[in-house]
Amino acid sequence: MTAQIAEKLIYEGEKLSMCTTPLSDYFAFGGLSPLFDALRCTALWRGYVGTWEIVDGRLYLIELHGALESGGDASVATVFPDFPDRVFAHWYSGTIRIPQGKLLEYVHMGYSSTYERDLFLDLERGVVVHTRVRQNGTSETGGAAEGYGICGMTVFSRSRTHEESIP
Amino acid sequence: MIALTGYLVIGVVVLPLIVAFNKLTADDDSKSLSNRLRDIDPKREKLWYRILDDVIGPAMVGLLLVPFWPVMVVMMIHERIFSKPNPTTFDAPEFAVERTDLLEAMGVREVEQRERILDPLGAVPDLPFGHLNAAWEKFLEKMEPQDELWAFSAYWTLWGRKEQRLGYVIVRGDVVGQHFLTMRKEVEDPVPENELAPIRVGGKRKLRFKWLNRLRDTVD
Repeated sequence: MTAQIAEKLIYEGEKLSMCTTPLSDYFAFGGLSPLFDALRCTALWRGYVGTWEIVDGRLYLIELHGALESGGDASVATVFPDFPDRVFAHWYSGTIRIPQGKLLEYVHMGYSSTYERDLFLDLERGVVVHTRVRQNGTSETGGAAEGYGICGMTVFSRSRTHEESIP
Repeated sequence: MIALTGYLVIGVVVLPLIVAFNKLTADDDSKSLSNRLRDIDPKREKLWYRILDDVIGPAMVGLLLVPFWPVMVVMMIHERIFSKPNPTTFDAPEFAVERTDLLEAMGVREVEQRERILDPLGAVPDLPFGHLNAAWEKFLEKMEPQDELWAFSAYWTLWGRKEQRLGYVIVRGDVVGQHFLTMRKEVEDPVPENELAPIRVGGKRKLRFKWLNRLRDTVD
């Protein structure tokens, strides 16, 4: 399994990468799931990328981009037709992981890579109840890039197949 | 010469029969290679590609295999007699609520009152279970008049991941039946803080646990 593209999270004014997929729980609990086109990209088996926001300690889904098997594009309205702009993620309880700093160890699988720090947000029914930071170490590689990234993926478009690399 | 011709003719007859037999006995949900190629590359839907994938390709392969038709027959018989279930079709164990997980019996109205969700930004419907209301209504359709509704809390471990799961379950007589999940949360067996050590990159090889670092230092 290729390293996966992260979700996005706006937290305290910063746009961060989030290695947690709260929508998976929504679908697991019986929420209606559209047929996302998961065959397009090896780094996006879930078929979508969501943008989330923490406002007053509450987690909201505010954007969703994805492709549908039927050929159209997916948005928040595709999953939540009555709430196309903002959805309170009350179904989500668990820990959100936000990797920060430089890359320490790259693993080309899921969200397994290790970064200098992990910011964890613990949520209960969509509400942040605790935050903590875990220091994983310090990169001694001078030119290492900051923040989450993946090293490669294969994208299958409608007309052609090509390899892309993301620094 | 006549014997060789006869041998090849039998092959020409037998091979299509083997292919047809395999097609008829294949799993319904299995996808052929040509179907998978079409999923990835839609241009293969075109007639020419379909002829190439479904007719010309298999025919060429078939012609190459004709001289070896007895091998194919033996392989097919061997597969039918000795084949074991495919391990890739292993079914993961399914979560089910047990009697020991039950917390309290509740009425539907009581549950719906308890599970109303409020949001100051109005980003949730004012209905029981909020965005999951439709799933809840669907769950209630499974209840019969004599059934009881119970709240539950259970622990479930799959692929080494331990979760706490909360929700509601239908109890019919002695049988604990279908459930509705409201929360699942990973529960970690905590690693003591003093066992965690920073990972170093670029110097010595990184080791996650202190005792491994100590072991390495001893060896060094």
